[in-house]
Formats: sequence, structure tokens, C-alpha cells
Amino acid sequence: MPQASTPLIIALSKGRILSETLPLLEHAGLMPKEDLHTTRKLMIDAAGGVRFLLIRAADVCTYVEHGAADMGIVGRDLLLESRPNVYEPLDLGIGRCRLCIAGPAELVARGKPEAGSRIRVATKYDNLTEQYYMAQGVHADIIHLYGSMELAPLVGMADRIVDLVETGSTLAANNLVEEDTLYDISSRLVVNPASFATRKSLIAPVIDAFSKAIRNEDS
Amino acid sequence: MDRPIIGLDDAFGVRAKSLRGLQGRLLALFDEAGFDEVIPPILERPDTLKSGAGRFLADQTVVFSDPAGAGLLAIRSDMTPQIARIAATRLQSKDILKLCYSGTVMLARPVSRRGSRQQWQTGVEYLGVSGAEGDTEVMRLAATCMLAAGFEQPVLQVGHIGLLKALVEESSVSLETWRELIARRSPDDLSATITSVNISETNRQVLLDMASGLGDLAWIEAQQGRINDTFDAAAQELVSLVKQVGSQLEGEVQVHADAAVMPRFLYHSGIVFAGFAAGVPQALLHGGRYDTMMAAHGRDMPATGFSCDLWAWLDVVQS
Repeated sequence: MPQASTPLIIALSKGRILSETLPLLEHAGLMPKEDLHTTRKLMIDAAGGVRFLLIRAADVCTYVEHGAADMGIVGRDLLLESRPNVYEPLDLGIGRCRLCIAGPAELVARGKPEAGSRIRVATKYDNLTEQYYMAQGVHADIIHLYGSMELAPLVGMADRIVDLVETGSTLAANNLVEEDTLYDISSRLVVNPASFATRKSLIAPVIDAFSKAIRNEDS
Repeated sequence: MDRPIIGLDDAFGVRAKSLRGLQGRLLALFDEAGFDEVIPPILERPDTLKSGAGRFLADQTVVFSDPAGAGLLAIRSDMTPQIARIAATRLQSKDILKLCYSGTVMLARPVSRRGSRQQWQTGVEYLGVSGAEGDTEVMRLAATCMLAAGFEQPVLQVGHIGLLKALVEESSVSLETWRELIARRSPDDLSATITSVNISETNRQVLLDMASGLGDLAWIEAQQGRINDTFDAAAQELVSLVKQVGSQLEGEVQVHADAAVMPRFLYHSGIVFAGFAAGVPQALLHGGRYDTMMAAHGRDMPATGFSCDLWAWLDVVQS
């Protein structure tokens, strides 16, 4: 558990978002001492008494909620889906995409499922999917998958998918079309509430630095 | 038969002993401060548990039919409604009540996945005294409890629900929506909501500052005279309380004013606070003033208090 003398710990996710995160870290004066893309280490120190954890995107909220990291960078999709008890002080504007409903072209052409109907939906966003269809009066049987949602309608396992769409090329390649957008997504800086209360003098400058870094990127 | 029930654990050995030790220390502190213990039964009529403060936990309260014929009974999910019932009935002859309690409450579902459905809720209620006098005592006691349990660098974060109420009283969005937005401290989501709501430019900026975590003591003082009288009254109450309690606890517990401290449930009417400590990932205690709630239990009187979960304390103190 972090004490006052321990470094400020920031959880980052590997993969797509990392490339967009690095310029922000540079602008914020928090450059890691090793190349985050190539290192096999999971814990990397940086300038300014900061330590990064490199973990899976889906685990960032867990680390921050449990106080193993004071802060983290995580997609809004995961915040909306799991509603973790964290502060969300800053939208970093990186990792932009949309959380969409898509389906086979011929099904979508027939229009949205009617109220009262029952459909099968493949997704890893069980809660958001359920909420969406409940509001439409449609009973959605959620089929939880961990990846490659696009396959589910192709093999007849699902009528729709709910997934992140960046360019839409994967959908198009699999003859799927978008039906609706649930949310615009980007990555956010999140903070553990207890860390915010007990380590505010360390955390506030980092939030500030990120906020300036975003403005730099924009200009 | 021997399978454990989800979210319910047996405690024995060192854990049982530690719990009793901690409970004894806190009850001794309450006693020293003049709070008398109340031990209500674990079952109540659902009406009691679901009115006033209890209605926010209504869907977390297990209700069953009494085989002995008393109708529906509920397992308590919170002790405050029981204390309120006792204050409104058996103890109605006393104008001022200083009561404390320590007992098991049960939730229908764990708050976090795989979490516990049981809490050993321990706390105090100070009834019949309005304003700073009661709040100071309750906040000081909350801070002392964190010290007695051995937490390092404890912090009391103090806010006032009156600030938010004053800022959004004319907006069409519900207070609960605002509470949730401020509690999550997401200025980005807040600005998205604000653009579709009829609210003045000044109030808009003040809300964004709050969500951005800028609402400390100096900031609160600087906002006085900008919003309205309700805001100023709440701000003054908060500022003077934080200064007073802060100086009493100087060197032991840090007392921070933060305009964005929100109650978990909207029954608070004034000061709200939460306790934190170094290395503990969640709030250790919650408290505040709830003057308007007692009327729902049949006795309109000012009230303030705090509570904590001894099991949660034990888990973080031991590690």
C-alpha cells in the first residue's frame, strides 16, 4: 500500500492506447526511464517520483480501485461498463472511438428489433448492452465474448454485436454494418478517491501537467 | 450444507479477537464522550427500515414473512433508522440524545463483486442539537476513532450538501444526477450535462471548479457573495467548522474542506464528511448532518452522526 514516501503510481494499459499516451507523458514531464513498448518489465520508474504499471486495459480500474495504483489511464467504455469507485478528473482525448451496435447488413436493413422481441447479442459490455436494450423494450440474451465479436453473427451465434468501432474497417470486412452509437469513447485519467484525499499535493500537479499536455497537443 | 453462503463469513481466532478489541476501543471512546450504547434487535418492521434514511437502502434490505405471525420482517441493512425509531418512541422524553451502536447489518447483495454482505456497523448519532456544536463533537470523535484504530496520516474530508443545493436549485436536472456527477469528479461529463441545462454562467463555472477538485478552503471563501444567500450560509458553516475542528486536531488528523465531498445518499441536510488514511484504498467512515430525516421517523429533531464498518477497518489495519 502506498505511503507518503512511496512514488506516485500510475497504471497504464498496453496496446493501442500506449502509443498515444507516450507523447502526453512527454509533454507532462513524466517520461519513463525505459521504452514502454519494448520493456518486459511491468513496473517502470519515471521522472518526478512517478512509477508506471503496465497492465491490461481491463485491469486498470481494478488496480486503481484497490489502491495498488493512485491513478490510471483507462477507456471510458470500461468506466461506463463497470462503474468503478474512482474519480475521473480528465478526459485525455486519446484512443478515440465509438461504442456501437452492429449487425449483418441484411438484418440491420430490416430495422431495429421491435419492442417485445428477443435477440441474441454478442459483447463484452454486458451491462451497457442490457441497459440499452432494456430502454428499447427488447429482451437481449447477452452472449459474453472476450474478443472478435464480429465472428458471432457470421456463424449464426448472435443477431447483433456491441463493440468499439474505430474506423469501421473490421465491420465492413465481415459484412457487418453499424446500427446505432451508444457512446463516444476516449481515454480518461482516473484517480483513487482515497489517494486524492491523502496524497493531493502529489496528485494535483500530475492532473495539472496532463491537462496542460492535452492543450499542447491540441494547439 | 457445509457450503459457505455468498458474502457471509465466519470469524474466529485472531480475526474474532481483533474485532472485539477494536470494538472495545471505539465503544470506550464513545462512552468517554458521553454517548450511551443502544442495542436494537437485528430484525425490524420493513416500514421502519424503509423510511427516512432507510429508503435509500430499500433494495438492499432482505424482507421475509415471520413464521411467528408478526407479518413481514426485515433484516436491518443500516442501524440509523433503528436509532431514529428508538429516539422517536422509547427515548422521546429526552430532548438531547447522544447514542452509539455497534452491530451487524446485512445487505441483500455485496456492494462490490465478491465483497461481503455483512458489515459491523459502528457509530454515533447526536440528536437534538443543531449547528456546529453537534458537528464538531461528531467529527472530532470520528477522527479520534481513526487514530485509536492505528491508521496512519488520517484525513477528514469535509463538504456541505447546501453548496450543491444552492447552485442547482433552479435547474431541471435532479439533485441526484448532480450529486453523482460531482461525486465522480468528472468535469468533462459535468460540462456535457451543463450545456443542456438552464444555469447561470457563474454557477456553471463554480460547479466545474468543484468537479475539478479545486474546492478547497481558500476557494470556498473566495466564492462567498457570488452565488446566493443559501450558498453563503453553507459556505460559512463549512469554513468555520473546518477551521475549528482542524485546529483542535492539529498535528494528529488533517481536516480538509472540499466542496465536492458528496453524501452517498441524499438524506443529508448540511455538513458531510468522509475519513481516509494513508494506504487505505476506500473511505474509512462517512458522516454528516441530516436534520430533515428524523421527521420521517416520527420525531422532527436535528441530527448528526457518523458510522464505519469494523470488518473493513480490520482488513486494512491488519495489512
